[in-house]
Amino acid sequence: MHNSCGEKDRMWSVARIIRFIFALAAAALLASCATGAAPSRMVPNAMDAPRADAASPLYQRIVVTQVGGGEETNPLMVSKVGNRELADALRGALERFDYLAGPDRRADFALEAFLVDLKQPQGAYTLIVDSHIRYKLLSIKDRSVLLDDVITGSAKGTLNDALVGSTRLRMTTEASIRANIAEFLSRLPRLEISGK
Amino acid sequence: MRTATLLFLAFLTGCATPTGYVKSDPAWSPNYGYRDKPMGGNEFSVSFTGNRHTGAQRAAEIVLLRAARLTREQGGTHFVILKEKARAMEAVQLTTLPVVGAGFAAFVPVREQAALEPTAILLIQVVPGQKPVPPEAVDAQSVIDRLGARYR
Repeated sequence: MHNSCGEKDRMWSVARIIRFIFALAAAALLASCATGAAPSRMVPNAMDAPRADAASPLYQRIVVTQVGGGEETNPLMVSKVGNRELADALRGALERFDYLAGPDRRADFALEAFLVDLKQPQGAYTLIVDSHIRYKLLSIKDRSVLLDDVITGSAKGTLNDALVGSTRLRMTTEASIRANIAEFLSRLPRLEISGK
Repeated sequence: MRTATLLFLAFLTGCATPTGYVKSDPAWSPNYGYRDKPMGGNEFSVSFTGNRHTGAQRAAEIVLLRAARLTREQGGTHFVILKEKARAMEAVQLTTLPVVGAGFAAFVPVREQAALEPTAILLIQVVPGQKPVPPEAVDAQSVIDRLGARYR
């Protein structure tokens, strides 16, 4: 009888340990679940591109009209960039650099963006994420195209950025989009738009 | 042991082969192969990324072939190239070594290696069969005839 109780206790202990291991594994899985890229972290920093000149025809005159090519993030897969996140990031960037038409300013130019490709390597310590976005900037008045190009942005993420692979990939993806938008913004002052 | 040796050889062979005309697979090979996306209207983006053993010309030909086949799938005969980009992108690869023991097999990370991988992008507009063909349009069937046998 006594032996049987001891056996039962041992079995309970083993069951508790197994439950604990499962709970730990579930917690680890949840902690490493992929989350989508955050728009605020895809907006370039103030030093990454020049601000719009107040004399420029583009100054506070651009509106984001169409964004496509994004993908929603599946928590069990890798972090992606959705259309809404990319659109929000573009609006945030245009606003930060004084290109976004505000509620009291008439928009003269429409920006369309399409995420052509997002290369996200996995299974390495150092990650390089490449994003290819097509930007099309049009005059709203006559639909003439001011800029139409596929711009590439790259970013490198290392173990110093994040130890957890899914976090490192998300951060590097955001940095890649940030670099891409910064390159787009840096082209705007060079556009010939006189008379538009 | 023979199976392990075969697996090891298959692993080595697989690594040294350039990327072929394959659709990128989100689960197994998300970064290599071709991808295409509808952009609205009759416009599509077609991109291809090859591994470090893939040459730039091969990448350009595969993306062109994919554009031609996509045109046919969409019921078109010709396509217009709106934009084209080709670049060698820096990539970092983790070199692993297969270790096979009694009852187990594992890939052990050895070192990271920098490499250049070609990426080719085409933005195309499919010309529907019944529409007049613009002079700059590419004949999809002639591209398939020329490159289809090379990249099956």
